[in-house]
Amino acid sequence: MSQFVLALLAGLGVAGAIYAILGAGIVTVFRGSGVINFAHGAIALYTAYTWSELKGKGDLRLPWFDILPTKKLNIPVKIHLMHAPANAAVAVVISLLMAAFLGLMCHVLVFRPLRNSSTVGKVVGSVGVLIYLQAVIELNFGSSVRSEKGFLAQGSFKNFLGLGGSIGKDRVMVAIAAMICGALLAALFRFTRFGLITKATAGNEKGSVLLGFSPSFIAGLNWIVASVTAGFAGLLFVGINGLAPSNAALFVVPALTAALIGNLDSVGIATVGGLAIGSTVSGVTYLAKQSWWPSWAPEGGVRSVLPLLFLAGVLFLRGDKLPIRGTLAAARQARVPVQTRPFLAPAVVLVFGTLGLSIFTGSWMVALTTTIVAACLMLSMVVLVGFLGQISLAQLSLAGVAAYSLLRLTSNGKRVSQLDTVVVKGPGLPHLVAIVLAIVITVVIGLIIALPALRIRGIQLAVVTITAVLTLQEFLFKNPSIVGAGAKANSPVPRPTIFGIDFGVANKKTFLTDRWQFSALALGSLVLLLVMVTNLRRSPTGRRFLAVRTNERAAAAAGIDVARTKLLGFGISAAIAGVAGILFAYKFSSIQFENFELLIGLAFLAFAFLGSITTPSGAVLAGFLVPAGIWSFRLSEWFGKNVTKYVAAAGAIGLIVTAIANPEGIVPAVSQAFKPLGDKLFGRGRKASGGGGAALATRTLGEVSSVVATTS
Amino acid sequence: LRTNLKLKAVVVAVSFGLVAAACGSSKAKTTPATTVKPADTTVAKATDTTAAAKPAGGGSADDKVDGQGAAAFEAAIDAAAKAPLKAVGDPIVVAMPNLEGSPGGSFPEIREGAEAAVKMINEKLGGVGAKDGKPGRPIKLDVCSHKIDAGEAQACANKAKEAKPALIVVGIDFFTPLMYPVWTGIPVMETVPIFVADFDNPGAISAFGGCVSAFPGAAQYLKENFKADKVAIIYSDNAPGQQCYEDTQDRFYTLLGIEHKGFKDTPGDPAVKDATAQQVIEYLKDAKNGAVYWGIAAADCAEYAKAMVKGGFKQQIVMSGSCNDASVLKLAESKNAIFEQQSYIVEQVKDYSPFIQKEIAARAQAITDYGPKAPISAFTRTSFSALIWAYQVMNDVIAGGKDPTAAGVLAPALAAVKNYHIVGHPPINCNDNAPQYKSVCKKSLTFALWDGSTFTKTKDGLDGKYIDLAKLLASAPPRKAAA
Repeated sequence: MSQFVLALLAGLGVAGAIYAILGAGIVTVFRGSGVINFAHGAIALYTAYTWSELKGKGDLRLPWFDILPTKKLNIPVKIHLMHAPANAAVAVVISLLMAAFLGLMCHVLVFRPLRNSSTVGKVVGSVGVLIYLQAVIELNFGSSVRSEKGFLAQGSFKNFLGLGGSIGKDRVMVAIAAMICGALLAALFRFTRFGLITKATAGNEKGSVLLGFSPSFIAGLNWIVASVTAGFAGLLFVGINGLAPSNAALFVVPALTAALIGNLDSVGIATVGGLAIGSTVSGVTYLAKQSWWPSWAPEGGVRSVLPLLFLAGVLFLRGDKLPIRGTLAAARQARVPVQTRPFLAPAVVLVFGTLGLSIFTGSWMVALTTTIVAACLMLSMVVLVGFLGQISLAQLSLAGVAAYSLLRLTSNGKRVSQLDTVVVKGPGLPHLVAIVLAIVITVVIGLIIALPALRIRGIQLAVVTITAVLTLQEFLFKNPSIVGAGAKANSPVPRPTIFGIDFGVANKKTFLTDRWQFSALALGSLVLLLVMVTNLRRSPTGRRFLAVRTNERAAAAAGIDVARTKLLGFGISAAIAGVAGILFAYKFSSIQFENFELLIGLAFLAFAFLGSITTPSGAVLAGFLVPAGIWSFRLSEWFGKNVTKYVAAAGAIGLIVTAIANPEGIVPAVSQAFKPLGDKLFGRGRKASGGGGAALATRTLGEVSSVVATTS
Repeated sequence: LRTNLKLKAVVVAVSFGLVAAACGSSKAKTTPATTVKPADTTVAKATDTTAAAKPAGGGSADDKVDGQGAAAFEAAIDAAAKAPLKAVGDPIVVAMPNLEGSPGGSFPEIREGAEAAVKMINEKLGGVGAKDGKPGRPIKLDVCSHKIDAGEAQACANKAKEAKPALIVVGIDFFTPLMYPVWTGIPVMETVPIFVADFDNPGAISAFGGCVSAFPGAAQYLKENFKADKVAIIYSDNAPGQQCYEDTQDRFYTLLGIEHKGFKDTPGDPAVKDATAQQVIEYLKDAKNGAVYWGIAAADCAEYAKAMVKGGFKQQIVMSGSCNDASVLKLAESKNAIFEQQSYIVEQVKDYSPFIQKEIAARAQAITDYGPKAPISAFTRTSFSALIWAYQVMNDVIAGGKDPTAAGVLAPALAAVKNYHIVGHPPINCNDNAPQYKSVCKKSLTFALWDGSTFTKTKDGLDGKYIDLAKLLASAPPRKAAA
C-alpha cells in the first residue's frame, strides 16, 4: 500500500505538475480569446529547447525556418547570444521571453484574424499552430531526443514521508512550483484589474468595448501570460524528461482534460485537475504492473482513458439536452451551399477518375487510390462536422473499427501470404457479408460515440471525442483478445474477391499495388457516396441537420427532434467512415494501430477543412491534399527530398492562411472565382442567379428563419 | 489596456530587433545561418578525434582477422587518399526508404550515413568495380523518406520498386511488413531489423542484427558473464517494441533460465516513468545480482536511469546499444553503467589494430566531408558501413564475372558471405544464419563499462571479448502460434 501511495505522490511531481500548469494556461487562453490551444504543449516544448540550445551553445533559435535555396541570401534563424555554456538563470529569462513572443505571435498572426471564425475554424487554426511548431522544432533542433541535467536540485528524499521509498527532490520542487503557479494565476484573475477586465470581456465582449477596453489587447495579454506559464512548465520539464518533438502532442490530451475539469473557466480547479490526472495515471501504471491485474484491461488503455471517461461523464451530466436560454450564439458558421447541379461533382469525379485509372500505373495509381480513399473519409466529416456541426475527431478511428472488423471477419486462421508472420483467426466470412457487418459494427460504435453529443457541444465535444479515439485505440486496436495477433504487428488482410472478381490491390506479376480493379472499386464507392451526400444536403434530413447546426433551440421549436437528428448524423457519418476504413484495409493489405492515431485524425480534419468541410466537392479536393495523395506525390516529384522536409511546416502555414483567408475552404473560394465562367458555360446568367449575395443567401440555410420555413 | 497601439509597437520593435540581430549574427559567420550543427557534440568530437588520429602505415589489414575484403578496402582507401578516383558510367540504383519527419520516429542520420558512403564510393573510391585506377560505375542512392503514415510508406515501396534497383537498403521503417510483398524478387538489406518480418524474410539480409543481435546477446551476457539472477526489461508499448520483446527477449531469457519481467513504457510520457521505475526497483530489491536492461525504448534510457537512481536503485544498469549516445553518456546517472557495443568502440579507437583505426578514421572523415545535418550517431555509422558492405560485395560479384544488377545475383552473394569485412565492426557470417533468423548475419557483440569519462572493460571476465551468439540464436525455441 505504501508503494501505491508513493506512486500517487510521484505522479504529482512530474506529469501532474506539467499537466496542471498547461491546463491552467489553456484556461487562460480560452478565457482571453475563446480559443482551445492545441499547441500549448508545443509552446512549452519550444521554450525548453530554447533553454537547452542557449545553455549548450549560446544560440537563440528563432521560431521559423529558412526555405531559401540560395547560400548567400538566407532567412535568419539563429542568433548567437552568448558563450556556451550560458548562465542558467539568463537562459531561463531569455527562454521565457521566447515563450511570450510565441504567444504574442499566435495571437497576432493566427487567432486575432480568426476571432470571428467558427469553432471548427479556430480548432483548425490551433491544429495548424501545433503542426507548425512541431515541424519547426524538428527543423531547428533536430529529431533526436535530448537529455539535459536541468537546473533543479538533484538528489532524493530517502524514505519519503515514511513510505519506505525515495522521491527525487526535483519532483517535489516541480509539484510545489505547479501549485504556486496555479495559485498566482488564480490570484491574478481574482484580485487584479487585469483579471476583472478579462472576466468582463469573456462574459460580454461588446460591453467591454463600450467600456473602452480592447478585447484584442486583452486577448494578447492573456496569450502572453498563458505562454509564459507554458514556457515555465517546459523549463521544469527539462531536467526530468527527455526533449523530443513528439512530446508536444503528448501533453495535449491530459492538459485539455485538466482545463475541461476547470470548465475552461477556473484556473485553480484546472490546476488541481492536472495534478489529480498525473497522480491517477501514475497510480494506475503502478497497479497495472501487478500480477493480479486482468489481462483484458490493457495498462495503456486504462491509464489514458480513465481520466477522460471520468471527464466525459461529468460533462455529460453537467450538460443540457438543449443549450440553455441566453447561451451566446455561436460565431458565424461556414455556408453550406445547395448543389444546384447535384450530379455535376460525382460526374466530374467519375470521368476524371476513370481517365486516371486508364492512364496511371505504378506510383501515380497508388497516389490516385490514396486520394480516392481519403476523399471517402473526408465525406464522413462533411456530413458530421459540415452539415450537422458536431466536431468529432473520431472519424479516422471509426474507419479503423471497420478495418479491424473486416480483418477479423474475413480471416480464417490461415496465412494470407508466405511472407506473413502473423495469422489472424476468424470465421472467414465472404467479403461482401463481412463488409456489410463491418459497416454495421462501425455504425453501432458511431452511435455510442454520439451519446455524449446529446448533451455536450462545440469544442467540449471535440475534446470528449478524443476519449473515443484513445478508447478505440487502446482497448480495441491494441487488444489481442479482440483483434487477434495483429494487435502487436501488422495484420494481413485477406485479398478481396466479390462476385468472383478479384479486387486485390497488389499486381500478382509486378507486385506493385496498382491494380485498376481495386482503384475502380474505390472510385465507384466514392462516386456513390458523393451522390448520397450531395442529395442528403438537399433532402429534408439535410435541412434538419443544418437547423440543428445553426441553433438547437430554434430547431427544437420548429419541431425537430434534436437528439434523433444528431444520432442519425453520427450514424450516417460512421457508415461513410466505415466504407473508407474497408477501402483502407484492402488498399494496404495489412493494418496496424499506428494508422489510426489521434494526430493523424486531427490532420485529416484539418485537410477536410482546407478543402471545404461543408461541401462534398471540398472532400474530394481534400483527398488530393493528404500525404501520399496526388498533390503531395506531385510535389515530391517536383522538388525532391530537399524541399519535402519543409512540407509539414509549410503545409501548416497554408492551413492557417486558408483558415483565415478562406474560412469556408478552397472549393467555395475557387468556385466563386470561376462562377462567371461557369455561368457562361452552363447558361445561367447573373439574372438567373439572383444577383450574387442575396441569391446565395437564399440558397444557403445559414439562417434559422430559412430552416424553420423549410422544415415547417 | 485601452488601446493596442503600444502592443503593435512592441511587436514590431521586437520582431525587427530579432531579425536585425539574427542578420548581424549570421553575417559574422562563415557558414550559412541555417546550417544545423550536430547537437551530439561528444559523438561528433569522438569521430573527429578518430579522424584526426594517425594510424600506422598502409597494408596492415589481414583478411583472416579483419574479414574477407578488408585488404581490398584498405587498398581502396589508400589509393583514394593518394588520388581520388571518380566513378563513371551508368549508375547502379540503390533504393532507400527511410522514416523521417514524424515526431514519433525520424532517422535522418541513417539516410545521411548512407549518402556519405555513396559520396565516398562515387567520388573517391572510383565506384563499383573500380580496379587498377580504372573507374567503375557510380551508385545512385534513390531515397524515399516518409512519415509514420501507411499511405506514404506504400507509395515509397512502389517508388522503390519502380526505380528498378539492384538493391533496396531499408533504414528504420515501421512499415516493412507491407513493403516486402511489393519488393518480391529484389534483394533487400535491412539496416536495423525491428520486426519479426525483418528477421527471416526470403531475399532480405542484414549485416547488423537490430533486435536479434542486441537482445539475445544481452541475455547471454547477463547469464554467462554478469551472472544475473533477476533482470527487469523496459520496452516500448508499440508494435516493434512488443514484437522484439516477445521474439528476442522474453523467450531467450526463458530459454536461459533467467528470472525476468518486462515493463511496458510509453516513450516520452512523464506520467509513466516514475511509477515504472519504482516498480523496477521493487522487483529487483531482493535480487542478489540484479540488472535492468532495455528493449526498444532507447529514447527513454537516460530518463529511466535518472528516475531509478533518484528512486534509490542499487542494482546494475545495462544500457542497450541504441542508448549509447552523447546525451546519455554525459549524465551523472550513466556513470558505472554497462553499455552494449555491437561495433568497435569509437571512443577507444586506440585499443584496436592499425587497420581498424584507419578504417574508422576513414569513415569519420567521409561522414565529416559529407557534412551531415543531423547529429552523428551510431545509426549514421551503421548505415555508412551497410552501404560500404554492399559496395564490397558488388565488387566481388563483378570480379567473379557477373553483373550485380542482374536478377538473382546479388541476394545470393550477400547471403553467402563468410567471415566478411564490415567497416567498424567485427567480421560477419551470413552463410550460417539461424533458422528463425535467416536474414540476420550479425551474431557478436560485447559490453563495456562507462566510468564517467571513458569505456573500460567490465569486471566480469568478459575482458573486452566479443560474445558469439550463433549457438544461442540457433537454439531459439519455436515461436508461439501466431494467432
